[in-house]
Amino acid sequence: MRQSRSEVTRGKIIDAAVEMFNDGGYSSTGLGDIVERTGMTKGALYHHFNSKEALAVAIIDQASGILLTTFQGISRSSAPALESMIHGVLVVAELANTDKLARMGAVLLRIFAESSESSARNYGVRISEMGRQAQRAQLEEDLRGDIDAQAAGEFIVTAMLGTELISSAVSGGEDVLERVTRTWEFVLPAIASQQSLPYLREFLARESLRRGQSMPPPMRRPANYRPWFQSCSVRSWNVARANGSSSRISADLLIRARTSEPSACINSTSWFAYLRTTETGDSSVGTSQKS
Amino acid sequence: MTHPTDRRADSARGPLVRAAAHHFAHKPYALVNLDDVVAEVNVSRGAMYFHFPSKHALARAVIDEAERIGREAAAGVLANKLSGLETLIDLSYLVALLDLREDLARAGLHLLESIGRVDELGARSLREVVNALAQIARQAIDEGDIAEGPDPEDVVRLLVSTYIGLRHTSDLGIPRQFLLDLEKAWSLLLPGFANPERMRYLSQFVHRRTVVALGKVSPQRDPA
Repeated sequence: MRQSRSEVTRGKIIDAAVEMFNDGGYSSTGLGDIVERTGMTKGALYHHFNSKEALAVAIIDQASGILLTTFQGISRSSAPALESMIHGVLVVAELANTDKLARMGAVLLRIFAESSESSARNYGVRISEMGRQAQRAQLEEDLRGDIDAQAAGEFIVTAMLGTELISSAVSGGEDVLERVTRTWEFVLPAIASQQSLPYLREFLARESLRRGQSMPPPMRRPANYRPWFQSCSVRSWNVARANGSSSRISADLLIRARTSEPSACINSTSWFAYLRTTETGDSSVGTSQKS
Repeated sequence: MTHPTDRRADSARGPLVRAAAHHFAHKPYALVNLDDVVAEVNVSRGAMYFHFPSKHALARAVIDEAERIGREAAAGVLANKLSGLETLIDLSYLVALLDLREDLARAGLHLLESIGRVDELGARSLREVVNALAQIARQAIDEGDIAEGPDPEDVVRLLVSTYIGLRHTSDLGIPRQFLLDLEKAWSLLLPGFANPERMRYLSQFVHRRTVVALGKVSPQRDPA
């Protein structure tokens, strides 16, 4: 498809802005710097974007568009929905970390999370897309029948955004795939149906193979294995206490977990598991049965 | 190849190819009557001969178009970045669903077998498919899903032959049956070349795709 001249110019400005925000940071880059970099006149640039925020919103929208298209492409395949969700989240996390524009989009989305209508809209789109897939997964009997599919979809988006945030803070996004995989290891037992869980675990374990690495040994669990975080409150509390820096958040979640329905309990406890592994670097939690 | 100068001509070309696909998908080549094709589209016989001087030319255009949608759909599967053997399995279900639901795909495959047998087209097209798939099978060997030993080209030639054979021994008119037969074919083929340790996972992978495909061909089960 042919792009109009105006679209080409717009694309050029966006590319230049991504470069400059990337090098100097969003807050310390001014529209004037971008005018200089693109070599166009101030008027020409203002014709497309009348503020730095408008430019940021355009980057966010374009980046979200790329990620959403990728995710939907995977969902349209001949795979069952929950497989597409697992695989799609990983592919998108990788893309969000390797593609410059997508990466900047994620950064800006966080900066504007509380102040911009664009962030709310973009998170909303992701949540409803994931909810749609979760509903399909429930019809296919991979997702447990006794949970709200829409809520499960929202929880997955929440957990993965948190995972990506921590990965980008701790390692600059280097270890995002490992972390997202680990988050899935905790999420799956909470949302998958009994009969599909073993298969889905294996499907997840193959993700490293799909990225051209060798397969990890299959996880062996004792027959009576029960994810530790399914026994909700007391253990979580211990984890929270053992884990000084996160205890305030944990306590807050714990209160909510105690006062609301069981699904919220699962949510918050898997977060404990998650916080514990990320903060102590103790990767043996939850995967200790790995031989 | 169409010439960008034939704007008006282009507008008749697409509908002609689609109408022809409908006829070639449901009747043997010899029984397709060009008058029926023309009658379906609002085009004169002369205009049709302007684009397609013969039935053979029209059939080749159907094959070209079918190959184009096949390539596009295959690119979609490859973009999903699954493992090699998973990709091969997914591709087989993709082709089966196109074959069951799209006249163009079914006509293209019918024609490759009928007119493709006597001109170079069938051989060339199959060679291209086998080469492309062998690449993926090689990946599956590196990933350990296909055991070391067999030549990747032999593996994919077996897969392609089985699919073409299935189109004769099963019934495209009964989609459910066709998909179940495809699953059976996979479960008989896989032990021949798959890594025995991965067999349990792989047969579940196949079964789960069969279930999804069955949902797509029987609308009452389709959630969408």
